[in-house]
This record gives sequence, C-alpha cells and structure tokens, in this order.
Amino acid sequence: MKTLFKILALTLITSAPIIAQNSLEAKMDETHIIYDESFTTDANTTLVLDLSNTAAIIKKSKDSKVHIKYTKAFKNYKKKFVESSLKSHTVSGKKENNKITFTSKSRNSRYYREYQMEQVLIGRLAKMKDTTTTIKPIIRKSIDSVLTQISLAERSTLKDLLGTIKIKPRVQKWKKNDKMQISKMIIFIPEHIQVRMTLGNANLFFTDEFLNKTTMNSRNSRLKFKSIGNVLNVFDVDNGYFNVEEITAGNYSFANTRELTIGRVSNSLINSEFTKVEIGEVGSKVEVVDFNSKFTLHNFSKDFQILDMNTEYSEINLFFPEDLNFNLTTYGSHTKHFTDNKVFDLSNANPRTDGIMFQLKNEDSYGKNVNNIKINSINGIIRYGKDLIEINE
Amino acid sequence: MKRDIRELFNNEEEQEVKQLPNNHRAEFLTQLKKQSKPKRKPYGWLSVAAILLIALTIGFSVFNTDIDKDDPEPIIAQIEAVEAEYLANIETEWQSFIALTEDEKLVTRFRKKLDELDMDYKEISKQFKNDSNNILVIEALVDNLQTRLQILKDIQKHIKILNQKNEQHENTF
Repeated sequence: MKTLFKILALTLITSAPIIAQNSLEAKMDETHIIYDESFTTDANTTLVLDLSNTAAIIKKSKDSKVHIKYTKAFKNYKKKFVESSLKSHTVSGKKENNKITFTSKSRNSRYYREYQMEQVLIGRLAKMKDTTTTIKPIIRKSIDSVLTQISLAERSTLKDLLGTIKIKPRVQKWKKNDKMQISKMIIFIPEHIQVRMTLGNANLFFTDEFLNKTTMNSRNSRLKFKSIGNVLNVFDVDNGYFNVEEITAGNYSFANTRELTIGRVSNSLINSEFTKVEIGEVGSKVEVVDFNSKFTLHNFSKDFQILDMNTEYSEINLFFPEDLNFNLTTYGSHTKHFTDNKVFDLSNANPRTDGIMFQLKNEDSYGKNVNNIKINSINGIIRYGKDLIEINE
Repeated sequence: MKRDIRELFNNEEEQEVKQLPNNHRAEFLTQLKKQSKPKRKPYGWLSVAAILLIALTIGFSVFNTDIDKDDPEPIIAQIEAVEAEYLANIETEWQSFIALTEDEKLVTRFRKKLDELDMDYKEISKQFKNDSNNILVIEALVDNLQTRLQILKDIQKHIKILNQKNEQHENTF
C-alpha cells in the first residue's frame, strides 16, 4: 500500500506541467512523441485550441509559427501499460483556410487510478460536512504577497490534493525502481494571431505575457497566466480555478469559479457570479458587475481613477486606498456596511440623495482629479478596513 | 459317547506340538520388505510438470495483474453514495433557503443556477459512465455537488447578516 502511495505521489507531481518542465531531465526509459507539428501564420491566422483533460504550457513563439509538441516519457512501466497510456490520447491538428485547429483529448487517465478513491471521496465528504469553519479577520495583503500566492497556486492545489488523501510525498527518497511518467505539451503561439480556446478539465499555464486577441470558453479548468490584456479579449470561465498576475484589458466572465486571484487589474470589465474574487491591486478604470460573489480588494494603484461596481447580494471586503486622495460612494439599497466594528444598515429611501447610501468625501479633492470608488449595492455586505477587516457574523 | 473335555485337550497337547522353522524371523522380514516396496508409476514426471505449469500460470497472472485493473464497480458505487448524500443535503439547504427569503427574484435566480449546475452534472455523469476511472471527471462531479451545496449555504449566511437588526442611519456620515 505504501508503494501505491509513493507511486501516486510521484505520478501526481510529475503530471503537473510546471514540475514536468523541470523534471524532464530525469532519466526515463522511453519517451514517445505523441504530436509534433509547426504551422506558419500571418496576421489573419486563427488558432483554435480544443483541449480536454489536457495539461499544457503555453509560451510566446519566438518566430511567427505555431509549434505544438506533445511527449510522454515513462520509467519502470510495463510495455502493456505504456501502450494503453499512449492509446488514451486523441490528438489531431490541421490548417485550413488560415485556421489552425488543434484538438487534444485524453480519456481514462489510468495513472490516476492509483489514487485511493475511497480516501479521496471520504476526505472530500468530511470537508463538506465540516461547516464550522473558524472565522478569521481578513488582513490586507501587499501586491507582492498576492503575486507570491498566485505563483504558488499550483503547488498549493497539489498540497491540498495530497492533504485530502493523507499522503506525504517523499520526493528525495524515491528509489531507482519507482514508476514515473511525465507528460509534456508545449504550445508556442505567435503574438499576432487570434486564438479561440475551448477547454474542459484542462490545466494550462501561460508562462509569458499573452496579449493575443483571445476568445476563451473554459469549464472545470485550472488556468494560470502571467499577463493577459487584449482589449478584445472575451473570456468565459465556468467553475475551476483562475490565477493571473496581471490583467490590463478585456472582458472577463466568471461563474462559480472556486478561486479567482488577480494580482493587478486595469481597464477591464469583470462580470461574475457565485465566485470568490481576490484582487491584489485595482488599477485604472475597472468595472465589476456581480451577483452573489465575494470580493476582497487589497490595494489601489495611485491613479486608479475609478472603480465602478454594480452588485447584488455581493460581499465586498475593501481596504481603503493608502496615501491616496479618493472619494467613496455607495448607492443602492438594503446593504450592511461594516467599519471599525460598527455596523450600519443602510437603505436609500430619499430620492433627493440620488440613491446614495454612504459617502466618504475627501475635502481636499474639490476641483482636483481624484480617484473614485463607486459601489452600487443591492442586498449587499460591504466591509471596510485599513489593514484588517473583522468578520463579525 | 460322553467324553471328558479335559482329557480331550490333554491328548491334543501330547500329539501336536509343532516347532517353528529356524529361519522364520529372516523369512518374515524378507516378506515384509517385498510388500512395502512402492509400485512404480510410469508417468510420474507428468504430474510434476503439471504442478509446475499450474504454479507458473498462477504466478504469471498474479505478476501481470495490473494494479489499475481493479473492478470499477466499487468506484461507481462510491460515487452513487456520495451523490445521494450530497443531493439530500442540497435539498435540505434548498428548503431552508426558500423558507428564509421572501425575495422571489432571488429564489428564481438560484433555481436557474441550480438547474444549470444540474444540467452540467448530467453531462459530466455521461462522461463518467464512459470513463469511470478518470479522476478528473470524478473531481468535476464532486465539485459540481459541492458548488451547489456551498452557494446555498453562503446565501443563507448572507441573508441572516442582512436581516440582523442594527443601527439605522441616514445616507451620509
């Protein structure tokens, strides 16, 4: 049983694309090239990626071609297992009418069967039943702290997973005969082409700036970006995890996203529902439309100009901008405001106030260009704090 | 014709006293050795070979039994059990939620969301039937159920906070 656990831990870790990137140096018995193709592109080329049950690293292409390489390496596996594992991948690519289509689907991830299913499910059930979570105050995080959190997102997910099934990987003590398999898909995309992605149960890591005009439809996927920001970006993310160091432009929709962590955001529209959102720094011209999500906004850039939030049944935890002139106004109705251990149940009943519930005005701001936080909230909860927000429930 | 039986025995003892041959002991041992010799079986090596063959076959099949080839049925059974438990909890939370709020729009929106998630679940279930060993699909199934349960719990907590009685204030302070 211990061996099984070791194999599992090994397989899990090595299947993570980032780690796979570094560990390919390990001596493997055999490496199979599942797909290796390059496509020429021009400014009108569209790349269509349809990835299901697939982990991949996306990089900026150094030439004007799309390069896709998919390899799988094995160590200490029987031939039968290797053959079966290779057969579980369906990969195809073609270029027609200046449209490159690449499809990768993987069925029956056999190596995951080394999971102790029972323990996974029991562990998850136990988590589900544990509703008595301790309520901790929220502490303001620096932008660097949020960026570190994003960089560790992959590892923390792995840690959670291993924690759930109660195993301790002994990375340094693996023996020569331990089984190992590493799958590695790398897609190089030139900056100038359009990209359309359909993702299901995918795990993608964009290691470089990704400024291509992108339409993304993602379900149950784990996505991690360094930087995205084409003005014409349209992302539709359903469930899963989304971690990005920086968003500089575009439209992004999130539904039921379990973890949405953004280092910096500016010039963007975020449309969300039932999502947990954490933002390290709010930059210029950010608009949020939300239903029933939880926001934590840690910092504001010096020239954020305006943060405009239209929310319903949302929970907003907002740390006041530091060393900045700003005005804060909340509009709407039936919203609880928490500040300095005080609670104000505010509703706008007076038509003369233009729907204003709460206002914090900088008296020195008259005639100056100051930054504005506007929150339209219906049935919401808004908490304010300088460096710490107490959660009194 | 009457005879004394004691006389009869006395006469016999006198007439028939037989002596054992001198080498009776050696003859007995020779006979005994002859009887205890095993009968030779002409095809004895075949049984040895058969035993070896059976042992090798069992050993080979055990050696080649992939750990991944366990019966998938228990996994399906586990998922069904997890599903049943979650769905029961979701139903309880749903009843508790609709009892807590008077906002019909909110109830409608949640019903729509739960229906969407349920449709998603049915789709993932189809994948699960075709690929019941794929942990990613299993995780998607469990995530879907957890999401439904969690949003119902969260909204109830939210409504309870909204409904707590606190100070009422004017619109500017």
